[in-house]
Amino acid sequence: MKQKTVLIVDDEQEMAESLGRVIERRGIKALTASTKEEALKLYQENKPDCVFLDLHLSESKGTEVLKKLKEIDPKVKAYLLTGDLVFTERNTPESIGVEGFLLKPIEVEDVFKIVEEL
Amino acid sequence: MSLFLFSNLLVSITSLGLILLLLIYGRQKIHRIWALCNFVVFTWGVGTLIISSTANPLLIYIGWQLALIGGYFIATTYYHTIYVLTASKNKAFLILTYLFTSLAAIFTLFNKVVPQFRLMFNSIYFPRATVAYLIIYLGWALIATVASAELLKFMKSTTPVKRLQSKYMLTAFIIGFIGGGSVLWPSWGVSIYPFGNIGVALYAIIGTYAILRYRLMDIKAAITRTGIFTIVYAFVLGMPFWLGFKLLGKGLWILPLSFSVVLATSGPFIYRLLQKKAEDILLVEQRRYQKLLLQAASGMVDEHNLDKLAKLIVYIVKRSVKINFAAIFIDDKQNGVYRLKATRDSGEVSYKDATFLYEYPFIEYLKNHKDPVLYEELPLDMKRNLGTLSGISLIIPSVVQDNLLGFVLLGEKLNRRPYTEDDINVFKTLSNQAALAISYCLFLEEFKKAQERIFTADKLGLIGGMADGVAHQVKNRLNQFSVAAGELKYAAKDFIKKYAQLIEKNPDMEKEIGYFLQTADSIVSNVKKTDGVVRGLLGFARVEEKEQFFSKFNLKELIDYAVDMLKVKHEISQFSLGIGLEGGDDFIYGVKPQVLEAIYNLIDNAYEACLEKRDFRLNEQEKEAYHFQIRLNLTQADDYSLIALSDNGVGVKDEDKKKIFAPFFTTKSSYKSGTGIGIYVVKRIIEESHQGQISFSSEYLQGTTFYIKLPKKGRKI
Repeated sequence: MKQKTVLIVDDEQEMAESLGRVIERRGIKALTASTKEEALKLYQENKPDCVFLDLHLSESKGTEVLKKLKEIDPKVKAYLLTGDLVFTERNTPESIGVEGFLLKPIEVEDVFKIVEEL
Repeated sequence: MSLFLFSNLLVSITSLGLILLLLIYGRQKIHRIWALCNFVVFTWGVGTLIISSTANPLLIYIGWQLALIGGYFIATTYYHTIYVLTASKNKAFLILTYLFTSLAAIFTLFNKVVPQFRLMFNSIYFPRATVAYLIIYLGWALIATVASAELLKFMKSTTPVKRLQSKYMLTAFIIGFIGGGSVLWPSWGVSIYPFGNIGVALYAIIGTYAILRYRLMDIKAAITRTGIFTIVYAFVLGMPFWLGFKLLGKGLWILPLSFSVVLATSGPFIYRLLQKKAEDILLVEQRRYQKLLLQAASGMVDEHNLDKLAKLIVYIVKRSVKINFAAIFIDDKQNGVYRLKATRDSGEVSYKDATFLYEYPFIEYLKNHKDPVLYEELPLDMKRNLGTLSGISLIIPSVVQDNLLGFVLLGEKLNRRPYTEDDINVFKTLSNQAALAISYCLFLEEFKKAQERIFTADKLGLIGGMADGVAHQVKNRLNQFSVAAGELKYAAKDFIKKYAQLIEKNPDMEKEIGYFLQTADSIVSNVKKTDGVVRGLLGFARVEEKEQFFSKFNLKELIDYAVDMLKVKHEISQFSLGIGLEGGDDFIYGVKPQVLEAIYNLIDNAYEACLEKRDFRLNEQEKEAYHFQIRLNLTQADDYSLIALSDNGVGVKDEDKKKIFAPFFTTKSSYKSGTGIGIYVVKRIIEESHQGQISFSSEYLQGTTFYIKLPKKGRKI
């Protein structure tokens, strides 16, 4: 069986890597990207099982990246990371087209729950 | 006295008078030239006067020489005047005209022009026209035509003032030409009575008026007025003459009648002059203060402080008019009343805190009346509005565009004299000035307030925006803490699993690892607490979207919830909160989580104020006797619910009261919480999310009460 892979997209490299290290402790391969282009490239190459996507990227919006990812793979499983309460109040994961929202500051247990179900 | 004689006399007298006038008031070259014009008119006038008043052939001969020579020069000096007026460059022509006229004069003196005379109309000798006479006549007409043509040309391109001046000059000349010409027709054998010499006098008068005055009356208006005057006078004064001739024929009666005509004409002028003199003497005191008032009034607009202005107005009025009191009331828009702003009295009347509601008929009356009104003139019910304010004599409203800005009440004059029409007129001017000054002050005050409001709104907006940005950054950092702490925790857990055997052998190691786990947990829980604060700020940065979450719920339920949270926060098992619910109904309307947050924050604030007082402001003895008293009261009104939360805590110092709602403001010396956003968040929840009102009263070291007015659904307060 192929090893489970996740892709973490956050414009803050450190943040992405830190989350990646935690996930790798669960024996899951974690890829990190800090730009839209990097994210799309890694997704195409590795076809990860799940994507953790930061809503606010410095150059583009997480939702834009999501749109591109959907073009590559309509069945992409993505989670949106955000601290914006207004955004989460206004939208539902269904309306955005993601599996769920992860509210910053995220708790690693929540991430574990997700990756274990993959 | 014949009509001809009368008109010649008039010409002589007026031209002489005008020469004097021009010599006295004239300052410019044109004035001197025009004086010369008047001199030649005078010569003409004297000449014709002699002709018409004697039968002596020698005198008639001299008279005609004078008249003709003067007459020649009328055209020349007219041209000269226009030459100066239009700043003409045609000097050669000017010299030529003088040469021609001088030659004509010499010829006339040497008896070459009109050597023969004939008697006409049974009374007047006229010269017989000769060829030389004809030549001079044509030359005269040429000069006059050139002058008028130059004037017409000039009028097209000059300033409005000079254009009007030119119009007057032209009109004057035409009148003079027609009038003067009538004297010459008999010379050609035309048998028309020389009725028109009076036109020459008019020429002199109108010309002088045009040349001396800059502010000329519109010429049409001037002609109409003089026309009406002449017709009326000719009719009124001519009728007795006509009747006299009809009934009595020629006789001495003409003399007294003429005398009465002169007196009747000058009567109105003399009357006006005397009246003014008499009034000046009689009303010297009144005039003095009226002058003072008007002077002071013009200074009012320089005063930009409403309080000072009000004081200035009553001071001016009372001092200059010498009255027993003056009071000024000014529009207080906020409260819908006219409020006493300043008063000055002799100690007899006291009006402290007097106000007039907008709805009072008295106020309506002033708005419509606009002019100063005597107390006696007021309708009875208006007088009633003035009620306890006794001793009022005059009320002066200040109205700008149907807007009653305020009014002044005046008492009686100290000398007990009544207010006259003249006084009221002066006050009218004063009130207009005052209205301007007041409206300017009000405008400035409004402007200042508006600026302050904008500034506050700006500040809040800025902080709101900043809070948004800062909160986002802080959340990202917190996220990092959270993930890192998680990493630490799971690293430790993994370590325990992996090296279970090793750890079993080293109990110390287990303890150390356990410490890692604890630390990681502590970090996570602190992250959560910090996140709570950030949420507090961020959650209210944009409140307009919360409309849809409004509902009706029990306040009691919220209070219990808040108290539970507080127990956890302050690690206490008992929390005593007095609750008073009036009318039994404790339903309130709002966004439940927000109202909860507000209630929680207020109770928390009250509790901490008590802690602060106990721990930092009281000595040991006082501490013994001190018990926390926190009480929440709910009162229901039709439109809103009023929640009052009082404590007997540390209270707020007067100098801090303004800052209480500012974000990040805290007076707490306590090490716990004290982020300074609690009350700020409450204010935003109440005022922005709920369109409610929040206020407080507080006394330092005594306690504080917060009042929250929460509108019921769909209501505005």
